[in-house]
Amino acid sequence: MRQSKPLSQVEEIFVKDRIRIFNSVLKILSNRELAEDVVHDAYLKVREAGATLAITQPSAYAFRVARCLAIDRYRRRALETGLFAGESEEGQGVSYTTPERIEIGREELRLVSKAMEALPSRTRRAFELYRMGGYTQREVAEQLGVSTTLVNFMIRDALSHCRSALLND
Amino acid sequence: MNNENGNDAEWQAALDWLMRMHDGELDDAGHRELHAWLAASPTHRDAFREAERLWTLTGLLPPKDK
Repeated sequence: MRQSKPLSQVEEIFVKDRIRIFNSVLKILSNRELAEDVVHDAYLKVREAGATLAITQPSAYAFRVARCLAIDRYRRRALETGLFAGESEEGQGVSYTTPERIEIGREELRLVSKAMEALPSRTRRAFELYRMGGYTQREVAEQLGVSTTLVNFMIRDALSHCRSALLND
Repeated sequence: MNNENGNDAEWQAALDWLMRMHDGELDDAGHRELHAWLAASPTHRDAFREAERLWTLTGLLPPKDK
């Protein structure tokens, strides 16, 4: 479908630097099959993002997205593993069906990006450090010289604001 | 279903879980608690799914140029 179009810069990074991206993801997941899946997932998402958002540093961006997705997958697996192992009675028979791969659309990306731009710059900075920087709330608080409570509030605010942008569209 | 500011209790609880998960705070007991919370109501599961979706979407945004 999109075959005839030239690759975006970020997509090209995935082609050229695939092995390095794979290795950085593998370091997080320690499982080749999973790592391959995450790299592919990252590629699909980056393709949508590259077509929708202005990405000024494609290489840094490609690596960061892949790393973030790997960390998310790692945490998610810990949750799912516990789901099958910890036979809590309430947990039985409840299928927790969030797909590991979350499909994203361009319109959603556009709306969320717009919503994020409307946030106060400190809130946005706190969220970026937390979300993309991989810092904990406490670490973000230290970096910004504010309380952890405030960081917690700013992260909630950022996500809630993006959510409203999608709901109200 | 939700108020405009996204301040409903389930959404906020889902954010709590999401952030605890991201902070790497969830040990086995924490995971069991989260499972129990998810199992307790489909609205909890919906809220958590939505939070994860927003989390994924925001993870794709390029950082603002400093």
